[in-house]
Amino acid sequence: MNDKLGAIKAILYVISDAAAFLFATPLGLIILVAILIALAAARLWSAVSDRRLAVKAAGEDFGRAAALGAAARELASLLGKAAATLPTIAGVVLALVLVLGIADSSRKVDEYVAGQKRITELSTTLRNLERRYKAVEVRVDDVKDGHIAATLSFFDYKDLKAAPKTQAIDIAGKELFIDAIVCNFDYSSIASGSAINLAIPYRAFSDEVPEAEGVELSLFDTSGLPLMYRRSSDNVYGISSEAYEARLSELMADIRTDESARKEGIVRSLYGDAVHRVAKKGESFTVWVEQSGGLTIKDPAAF
Amino acid sequence: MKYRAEGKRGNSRSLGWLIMILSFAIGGYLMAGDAARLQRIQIAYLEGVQTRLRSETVPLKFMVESREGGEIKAKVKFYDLSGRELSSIEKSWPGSALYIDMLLFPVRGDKATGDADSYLAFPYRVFTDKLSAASGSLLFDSYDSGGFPEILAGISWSPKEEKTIKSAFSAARKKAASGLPAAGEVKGSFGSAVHEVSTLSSFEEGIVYKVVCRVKGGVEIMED
Repeated sequence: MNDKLGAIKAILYVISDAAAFLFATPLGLIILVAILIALAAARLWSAVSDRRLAVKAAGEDFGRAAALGAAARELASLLGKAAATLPTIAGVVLALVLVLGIADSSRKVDEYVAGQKRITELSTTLRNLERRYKAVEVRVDDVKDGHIAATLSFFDYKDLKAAPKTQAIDIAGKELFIDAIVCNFDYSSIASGSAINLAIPYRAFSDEVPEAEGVELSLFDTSGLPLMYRRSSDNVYGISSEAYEARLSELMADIRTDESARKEGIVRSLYGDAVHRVAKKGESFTVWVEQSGGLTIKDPAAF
Repeated sequence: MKYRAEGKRGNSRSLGWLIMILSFAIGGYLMAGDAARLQRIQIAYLEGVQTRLRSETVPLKFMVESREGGEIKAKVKFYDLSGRELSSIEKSWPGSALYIDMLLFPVRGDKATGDADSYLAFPYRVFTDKLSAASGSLLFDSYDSGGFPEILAGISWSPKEEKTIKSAFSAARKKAASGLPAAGEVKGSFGSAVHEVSTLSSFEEGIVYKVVCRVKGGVEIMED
């Protein structure tokens, strides 16, 4: 059905383009007038030639005046015939205008459909790029005697009713660092939704305690997947929950192996990122994985 | 007579239908044109947002020169928004993993929620896995030009924007100069110390890496 419609459209567009060219462009009009003049000239030439033969056969002279007269008569006859076919010409013109209108409307409909498709694609791309995933929620319980006491929460999105996995830490310093391995994928993969940027928080340290002496974080599920990337089937777009987890396992394998992480150029950047903020008693903040790249910290009030 | 009257009525009805169909056709045509115009505006907007999300600034690049005796020697260069090199530092730090710390300040955000439209990124300090952040090397002096962070030069800022930038930079400098952490003092601000992970992704000697700052506040390290 679509093939047939496509073929009809192609013929329609050819007729419409040809008509638009002939009747609506200076070059087209010049060509059209030239053809009409050439046809009329050929017709006149033929009429004059016939007349000359007939006159010569009768043994009479066929002078310039006689030729002009014959041409004028033929021209008048042509104009008369043209006038007689005016309704037909008007019909043809009307039909061409109709074809032009239908073709133009059809093109507009095609453009509109293509535009809607483009908007859907861009919206999906944008939704994927603007998306962010919560990595860790931090609540500063106390800041006393140069020590920070905080509770970190890691969420299992597959089971939203389950209490978040938490870890309490106590560390010397004024500023809390949450260190993570970050894997940013190529923009085309993110935009199409075939990959999501990953961050695996693995250590907490402070402005006074270097990373090597920091606190290990544990937020993996029993199969070794980070809790924040577990999704219920309702929250996975365009892919089954099982396929998503299988893909995630592959990505985790990639991220753990430098060589495979760089394979096929799908990974844009792979590095560590320790986001940090001054710890103030009672305050909370959230570490997010931005799909446009990198990690950010937001106050809970920002959402 | 009766037939003629009926014929006239029929003609009028046909004419009415024709006018109605033509009106619908013309109306539909004009509406389609308007819809296409609105579509073009929407597409341009979506493409603009997408480009903005992918845009990046590179305030600094660095290169690890050597790793000897438990120390990392690296060269760090600073650039303004037009890509002009401003200055450089070359130093050794104890440790095996280099951390480049950036300060992120929200701008044009909703004051009520603390959310931001975009972030200003200032190179803050360099430390390592063995050297605490508080003992790291501060970087502000390398691009301070009379109170204005020169890494944000290269484009024209309005006087109001310039004032905001200077104020954020000055607050960060003051805190750092007094030995206090600068991240988090301004609402919505935070720090992002990007680094190598020795077991996973080390900075290779002689390779230039760039620190890429995204409009939404994310910071990345990429090979230049």
